[in-house]
Amino acid sequence: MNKHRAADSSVELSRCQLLWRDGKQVELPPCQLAPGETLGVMGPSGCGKSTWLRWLLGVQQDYVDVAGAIYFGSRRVDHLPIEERSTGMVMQDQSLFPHYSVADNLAFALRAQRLGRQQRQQVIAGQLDALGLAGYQQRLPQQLSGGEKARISLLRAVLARPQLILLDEPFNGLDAARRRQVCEWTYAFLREQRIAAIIVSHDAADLSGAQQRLQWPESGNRKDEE
Amino acid sequence: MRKKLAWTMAISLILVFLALPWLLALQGLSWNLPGLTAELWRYPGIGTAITTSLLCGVSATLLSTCLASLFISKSEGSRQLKGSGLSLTFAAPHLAFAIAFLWLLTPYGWIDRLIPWLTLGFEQQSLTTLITILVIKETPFLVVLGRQQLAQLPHQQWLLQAQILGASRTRGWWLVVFPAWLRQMRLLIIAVAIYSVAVVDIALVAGPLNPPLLGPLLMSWQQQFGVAEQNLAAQGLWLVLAAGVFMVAWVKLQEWSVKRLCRGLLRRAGGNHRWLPEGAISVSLQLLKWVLLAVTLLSGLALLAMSLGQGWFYPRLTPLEWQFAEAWQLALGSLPVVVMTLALALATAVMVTVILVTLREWQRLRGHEFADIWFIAALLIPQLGLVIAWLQAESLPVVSMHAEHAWLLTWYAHCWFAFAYSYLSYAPAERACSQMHLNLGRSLGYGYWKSWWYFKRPALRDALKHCLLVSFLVSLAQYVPTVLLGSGYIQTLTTELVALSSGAELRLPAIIASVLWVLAALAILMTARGAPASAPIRKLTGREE
Amino acid sequence: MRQFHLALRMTVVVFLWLTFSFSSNAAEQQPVRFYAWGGSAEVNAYIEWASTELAAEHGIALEHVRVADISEAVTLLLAARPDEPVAIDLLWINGENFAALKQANRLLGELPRQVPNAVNLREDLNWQNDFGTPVDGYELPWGIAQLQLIVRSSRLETGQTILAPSQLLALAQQTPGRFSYPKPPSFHGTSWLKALAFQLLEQPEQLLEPAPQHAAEVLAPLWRYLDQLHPLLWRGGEEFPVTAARQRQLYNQGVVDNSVTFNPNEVAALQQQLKLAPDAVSVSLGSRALTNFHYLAVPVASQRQQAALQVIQFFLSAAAQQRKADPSGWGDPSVVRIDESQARLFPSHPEPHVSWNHALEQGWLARYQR
Repeated sequence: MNKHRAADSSVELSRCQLLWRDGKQVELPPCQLAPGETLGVMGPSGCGKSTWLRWLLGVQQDYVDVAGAIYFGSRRVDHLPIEERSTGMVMQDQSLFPHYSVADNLAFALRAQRLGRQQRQQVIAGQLDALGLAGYQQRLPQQLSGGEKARISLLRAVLARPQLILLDEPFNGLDAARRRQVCEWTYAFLREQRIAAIIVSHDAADLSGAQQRLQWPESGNRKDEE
Repeated sequence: MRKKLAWTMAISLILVFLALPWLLALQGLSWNLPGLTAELWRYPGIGTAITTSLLCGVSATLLSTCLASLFISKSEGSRQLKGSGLSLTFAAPHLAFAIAFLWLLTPYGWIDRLIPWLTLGFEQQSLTTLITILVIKETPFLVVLGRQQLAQLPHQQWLLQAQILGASRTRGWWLVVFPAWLRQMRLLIIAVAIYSVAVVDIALVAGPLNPPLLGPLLMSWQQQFGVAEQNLAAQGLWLVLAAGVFMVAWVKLQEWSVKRLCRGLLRRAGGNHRWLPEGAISVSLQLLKWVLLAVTLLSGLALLAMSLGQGWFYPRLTPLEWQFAEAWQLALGSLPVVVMTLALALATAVMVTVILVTLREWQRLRGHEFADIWFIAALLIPQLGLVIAWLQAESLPVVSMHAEHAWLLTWYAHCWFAFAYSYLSYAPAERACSQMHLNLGRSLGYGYWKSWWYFKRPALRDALKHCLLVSFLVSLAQYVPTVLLGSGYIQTLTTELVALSSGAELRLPAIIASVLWVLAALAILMTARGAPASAPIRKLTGREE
Repeated sequence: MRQFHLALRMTVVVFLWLTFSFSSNAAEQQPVRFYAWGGSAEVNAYIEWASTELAAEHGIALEHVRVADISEAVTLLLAARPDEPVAIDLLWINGENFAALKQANRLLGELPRQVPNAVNLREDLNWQNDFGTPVDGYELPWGIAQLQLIVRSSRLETGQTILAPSQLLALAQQTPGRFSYPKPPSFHGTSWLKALAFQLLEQPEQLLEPAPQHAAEVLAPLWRYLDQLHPLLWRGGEEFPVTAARQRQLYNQGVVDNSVTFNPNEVAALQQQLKLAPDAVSVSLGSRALTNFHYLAVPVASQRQQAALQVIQFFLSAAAQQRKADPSGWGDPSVVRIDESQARLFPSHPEPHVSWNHALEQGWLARYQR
């Protein structure tokens, strides 16, 4: 699925309208992200950010209608199933498979690249080394600290070479000092890997490294307008 | 201070309740290990008895695990497989089912008379028949409890993550969710494995008898009074325990192989080519579900027909006479046994629920969780081995000579075994329930239990119902402890059924089996009413916020 | 939670009711706990009839404790200390079980003196010997058993009443897979071996003496015969019906063409009750049939011996024996003189000495349970 990826093609989101079954509606402006560029979306909890993210990811949601389009370069992807959409996602906690080791978790993301056993081990070791996590291959997620988990979750998402990575409140659950550190690293890493990303958070500080910002718009009500 | 004392006393009592049987079993274990020269090894056919028992344990465990895994994997997506068909089979008391199964499906049985050219291959007294009945009974058990276990895993997130990383839903299921589910199911599968390797009641009715499997063989030794047989029983006890250990190892091996296979596939490069014949599996599971449902319904009808008909000789499809009045008389005659069975089962259900609730609350109060294994260890040892060890403990046989003691002992044993099963269903649900409401209630000035009753119990309604139901059903089905500890004072429908099925009659066992079935069905109906379908965690795919 | 309340209330009610019914029973009537095999509806019904009569006439509450095998009760009795009271008041017993209890001194003696109806016992029957163990007043006969074969009439010539072992072998050769016999060491299975041994041994009178050291050699003709027969049996002689009752069930289902009974009246009685296919007839295995008795005995440790003796007295009454012999019920022949026509009994030979049991059972198991 990822082999179609055209180098340096940008991610383009058309104007997008979310219409909930209960009448609530939100309209988002169009936006374009170059590789390595990050969009920070801020809004209070409960405003519908996560619903939007799940739509971007391709999850079926029967309580909301979304009108909008997603383009990777010239290719429209919003009709593709999750596994073919070349979109990654990182969540605050339960991203990693707890019953598999770090190496297994990362290997899962590398499947598409059809590497040999040795090559695969080299890639994993090299990447962990670069993150300062050398020798972590055989650890289980429960043996990692919050910051380590966050880094490995993002690394796993990146290793699958997606066009776009979605981060849903990725720094929740980290203490203040580490939060800052992980936050800075995340932006730097995404830039370095040249992957477009959308970060959603309720905290403005989390979005300081984003090139583009979007304040989640006030929701209207269709019935009021009528 | 007084409250603290009450807690301490209650908990001490519960701990004594749980621990006493272990101490007694240790006392009763004769350290008469069957050495190389023991007469046990000279018993005719002992080799066959051991190998067939292990074969029975391994194949029943393997088959029911495989089938349950497939059902669970499919029930995740398809609506039809979620239905109550399997629960219906689950609800059928195994012994009643076995009797109907034999009558329907063995050569010259009813189906054979109806469709003579159909060869099913289920002989009377055969290993294949026994394994089939075990698999039919254990698959629904694993599926029903497997769904509960699955609900405790964030499997929807994992599936989503797997899809995000490019795997199809199917592939994500088998590579990521399945090994975790199997690990979660370990104790339940061990319980199934232990049961299959040391099964007594169904083996007596449907299994091979020349030689019998280890369970019935040991049981027959224990029930004979000769010195030689008592000695064989003492040595055979170790054999059954060893078979239990073997089965635990087998379950671990199953799990390990799956994990290894999945890890291998996880790393292997490749797209989502169809590596399982998905469509074919779906169709066969659908078909199997209908077959199971049909066999279960037909068995129920067969028992009813066998209860009412007399003179059902080959090759007749219908009996010579339908005798409604006589059947009713016989059913009325079994009323004292029904009362005894009900009293025992209800008393067990209530006692187990009270103990379980107290124990869980105490753990929550102290903020300390003991590992599950301590509470369900009773399921990990062949029941027959335990009961025989108790009987060989010095203090017990004397006690059980008196009717009141036999009552208490049997009740105790029922509670003890039912506790383990109910723990499996109640503890996880309780653990998932927040203590917040209870604490809120206490902050409003209610006492602990009052607060529990008003604020926490409503949240646990289904779990409590399920706990009552499980312990009721377990008590209903107990054979070995009732026969051996009740010393003839306690006759339940299950012991009557086994005793009668060694006879020539069809009708009386059929009536008893029908009553047993009706009781189980009533219990299930009473507890199922209004219970919502299990709600899997849908944090990501469901409505948020 | 309504169900929870309901369950709780029901339990309390049931307990109260049970306690009440037990205690009120105990106050009015003398209970007698009768340990007896419970595998036959007719026998159970007969005992139930008896308990109704006993309650009405003698104020005795006869409780039938149904056991799958009376050895369960023997185990209990032998496990208790000799001086300890037990709750077993009456036993339906014979053979090895009797021998074990008699040897351990667990049975009440001098029964003929304490049960007046014992004087009516038939003298023409040799009941004083129970499988080679002298009865010596420790048990009283209750009924008669004679081993007969039940065979599908289509396999026999009309009017045939005797089936010699050689004829059986010939039948099995004609229709392989249609015959079987109850598995030793079940009661009927061992009896079948004994009956065959009487027919096949060169000197059958050896069986009346204690089994010698070289019992295996003496039994060689029996094993030769079975080696020939087994491959022609149901399931190739690999499995056997576990009891005679199970074999009757298989007969009715059409799986096998023969069964075994120890009750001379049984074929007619069962057919009348639609519990045996109408095409069944009984024949004797050889010209003489193995005959034995089943008995009633009272444990010495029973607390209610007088009541138990009264029950025996009742069971040996003409009325009770006559009802027992009724083919529409149990159909067990009477052991006391009654006017009714007696059951059809074949010329008999006695049970072998009890020590042959072991030789036959162990020999069979070692050869055929593999």
